[in-house]
Amino acid sequence: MAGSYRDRRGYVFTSGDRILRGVFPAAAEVQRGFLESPVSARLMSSGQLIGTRIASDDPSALGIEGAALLLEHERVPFVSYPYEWPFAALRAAALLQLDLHLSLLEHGYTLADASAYNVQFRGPEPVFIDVLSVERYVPGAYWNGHRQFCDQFLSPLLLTARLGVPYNASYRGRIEGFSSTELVPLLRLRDKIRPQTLLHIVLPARLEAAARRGRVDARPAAARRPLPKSALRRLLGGLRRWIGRLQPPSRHTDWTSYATDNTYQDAERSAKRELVTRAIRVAAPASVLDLGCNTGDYSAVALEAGAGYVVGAEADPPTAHLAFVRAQREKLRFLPIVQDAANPSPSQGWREAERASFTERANFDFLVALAVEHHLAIGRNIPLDELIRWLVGLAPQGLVEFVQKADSTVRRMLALREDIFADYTEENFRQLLAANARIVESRVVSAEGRVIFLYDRRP
Amino acid sequence: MSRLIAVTLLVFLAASPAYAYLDPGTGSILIQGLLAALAGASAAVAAFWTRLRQLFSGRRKPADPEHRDAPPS
Repeated sequence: MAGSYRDRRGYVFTSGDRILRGVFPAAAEVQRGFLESPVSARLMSSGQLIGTRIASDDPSALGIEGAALLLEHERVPFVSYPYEWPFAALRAAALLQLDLHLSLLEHGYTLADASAYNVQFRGPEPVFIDVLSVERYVPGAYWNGHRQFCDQFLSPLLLTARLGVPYNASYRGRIEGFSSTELVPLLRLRDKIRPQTLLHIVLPARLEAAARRGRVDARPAAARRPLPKSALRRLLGGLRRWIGRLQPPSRHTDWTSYATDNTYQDAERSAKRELVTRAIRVAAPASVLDLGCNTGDYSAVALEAGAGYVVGAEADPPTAHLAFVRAQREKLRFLPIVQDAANPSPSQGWREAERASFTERANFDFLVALAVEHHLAIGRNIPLDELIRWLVGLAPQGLVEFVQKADSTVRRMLALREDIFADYTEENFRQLLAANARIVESRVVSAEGRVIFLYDRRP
Repeated sequence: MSRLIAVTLLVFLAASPAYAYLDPGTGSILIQGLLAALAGASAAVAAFWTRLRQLFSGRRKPADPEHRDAPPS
């Protein structure tokens, strides 16, 4: 896989449905020892570490070279990236990273790095996927991943928790997270002088500046003074307690209150529930994409009706955060991610192949797109024919809701702008949908004439 | 401990910000070096304190094993 090119200890590749990892000779012995130890078995059964076994395949038959050890990993239902995670997800991933590190230290192991890309999700449960990051702990050693942890977990979380700014868009652009030197000038004095912020963000940034000017030198410090294991544990434990308490600001957006106090009527809601339940029972999809998932009402309905796994795409980070918290609380196999349908995650990183685009990863059996189409067609000026082609392309079957121009929501959207949407009619919508898929059913679900279409584009 | 660091290094807050960095981990390594030094210092203080307490409580060091194991005459 393109994302693992930087690791000098091994590399990940796929063979058919299998995810395999070749381990180079230098790391093979430690890896074998770790995977045969009770600690790895315990971390796998608790779900913190991805299921990994030593594969017995002949490496040359798979066309790989240089590997002294071959590992096979369990798959995750959907690959997601830190810049797509809502606040609660990034926080959960940070806590997993710290918990895992603390558990490993108890048994003489440590983590070589602290990349947020080493964590994936199964529903709202984070899982550590990079076993090659596990190394033998050398007494006195420093935490080499500290800087990376701060850049990829702590700084983005603080950007939201302290300043109320969602990190997702800028995290996507930078990929490697936020440097402390850039976060410090944004923080207010009362935030800067909090002991943990001082210790992990402000002072490292200042010391780095001092080192750059040649006032201090990190090398003799690291060589002379060993960091006792107890101090390392305190460092990790302190971060864990602190991050566990971080919360996004409590002010809610319009979107966040959408699920509770919009123009929806109870009858409309129950009609939608009934339709989703029936369609999911018939289709029995292993994976569902809930586009514009809001706080996950219909994701939960789909799961109850028997869907295997739901990925929710929600453009508003605070709403996605609430959906994630709901998935955690109700233990749903539901992963809400921050995703703007009009600007989905691109393929990016080194050679534009390091992180896959949303479309490349989108392999869903069923689409639920309720009350979202008008936000794209009217709100973002996406031509209706392109929009329908794109929606139908996301999954072979699905439910798509059409919102009439006379609907109070659309009227509000058009109140302050010119109506340039002459072709935005139910009839046109129906014709365009029929050109891309078979319309199995259509049903009016609201007094204002909202219609839900069930389409199927399979031959 | 973090409060001590806060007081010791508030001076650094006065320094003007720098936007480039030397290498990815300098600040992190230095802060851990500082923690290591503090851990070393607190261990030394603890050891000194223990000795002081022993001195004032009048307790002697445990008897030399050779003498303790000497057969009763």
